[in-house]
Amino acid sequence: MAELLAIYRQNPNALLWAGGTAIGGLRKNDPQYARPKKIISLAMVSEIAKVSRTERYLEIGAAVPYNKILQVGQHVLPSALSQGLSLLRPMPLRNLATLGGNLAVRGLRLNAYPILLLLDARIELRREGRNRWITMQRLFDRAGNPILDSGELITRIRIPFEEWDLGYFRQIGTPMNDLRSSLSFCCTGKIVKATVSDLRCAFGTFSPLVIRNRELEAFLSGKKVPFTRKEREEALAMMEKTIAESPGISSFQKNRARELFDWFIHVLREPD
Amino acid sequence: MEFRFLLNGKAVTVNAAPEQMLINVLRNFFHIASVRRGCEGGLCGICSVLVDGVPIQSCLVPMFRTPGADIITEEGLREKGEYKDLLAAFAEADYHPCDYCRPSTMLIAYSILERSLEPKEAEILDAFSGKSCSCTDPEKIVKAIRSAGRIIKGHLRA
Repeated sequence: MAELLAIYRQNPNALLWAGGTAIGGLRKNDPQYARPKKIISLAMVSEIAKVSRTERYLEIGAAVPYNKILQVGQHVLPSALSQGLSLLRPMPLRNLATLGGNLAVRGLRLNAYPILLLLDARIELRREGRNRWITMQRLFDRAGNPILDSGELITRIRIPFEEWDLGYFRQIGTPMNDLRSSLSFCCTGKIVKATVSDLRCAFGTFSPLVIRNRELEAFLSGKKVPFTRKEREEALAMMEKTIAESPGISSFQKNRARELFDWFIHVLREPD
Repeated sequence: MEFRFLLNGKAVTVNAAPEQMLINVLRNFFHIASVRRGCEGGLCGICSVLVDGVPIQSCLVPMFRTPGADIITEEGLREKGEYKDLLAAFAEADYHPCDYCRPSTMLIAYSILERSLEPKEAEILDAFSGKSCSCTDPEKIVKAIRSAGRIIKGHLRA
């Protein structure tokens, strides 16, 4: 790790290469990925290639392949995250793709970000001589680029353990092929005695924008499931307003977001 | 730059640019045509090979990731007894992948059976979902791989 950080400090413009799955999709159209002048491979750095846990947290190294996360964390991963990782297809991609790579792509917010946002995950950023932990909200600027100091890289993702009763993740489209028709929806929550105690929902549009309405989440908290017709209509109206006011998303994405949320609030039940 | 790794059980050395993708080296330098060109962006799965026992798209593996790796293509799989069992099981299940995707299909099937000779249907379907193939329906793939698992298990008991 120390060697990696020293090399990166000396070569801050080098392309960091974890699994390379996003790079593989981007390099056809982007010369900085097709012919990088310098590459630093993260694959052999053991400190960022492991999954560990404490009593309170699950910590995932930024260079751990998805299939390893799914395998090692199979009994402890939050359901929304497990579903999100499993959706990456074809399956061999999951032997390469990493959370660090998913988060670090410039100008795009791939599907891990909204899930980790809802789970209150924190990210460790390290550079030579310093490490810091930040919340997911502070990871990106408005343009969608990771806010990293020179020589700094994402090393670990820390997810607090919570007793989530439900988790959903749905994705439409393939962002690497067509951003404007791609959308993800993720939700995690707690339901106790058929009453919502904590519900968190977000749409990822793969652009810098993540759509989340905390007022809506507060509105649904304390309500019994299944929701009444009036509650569903009111919730849908709140989400539609948020979607309509969200800049830069296509009408296709807006329609699909509305449909996904409508479906979700119809099917939400207390888990068995 | 020189890279050394195992290819189908043999130690090999090749000179290549570090950012050169494995698919190009396997096809152009080692003349392994079973590694098919598809999307070359990781989305189709047709170029999959086994790297240290797991299926990975060779179009996404740069040469700087190969030192010390154990890489197997269909040619290497043919040396193993399980290959014939897979072929027999595929025929029994009336599952006939076309020549284009057969190599990657065989490798993925082999990797599934290496983990378990009684794989679950969901696991088999997941392994093949997203992999471009319009030749056959998923039920036959499940039947074929499960059948292969039984055949291999039978050999182990004998």
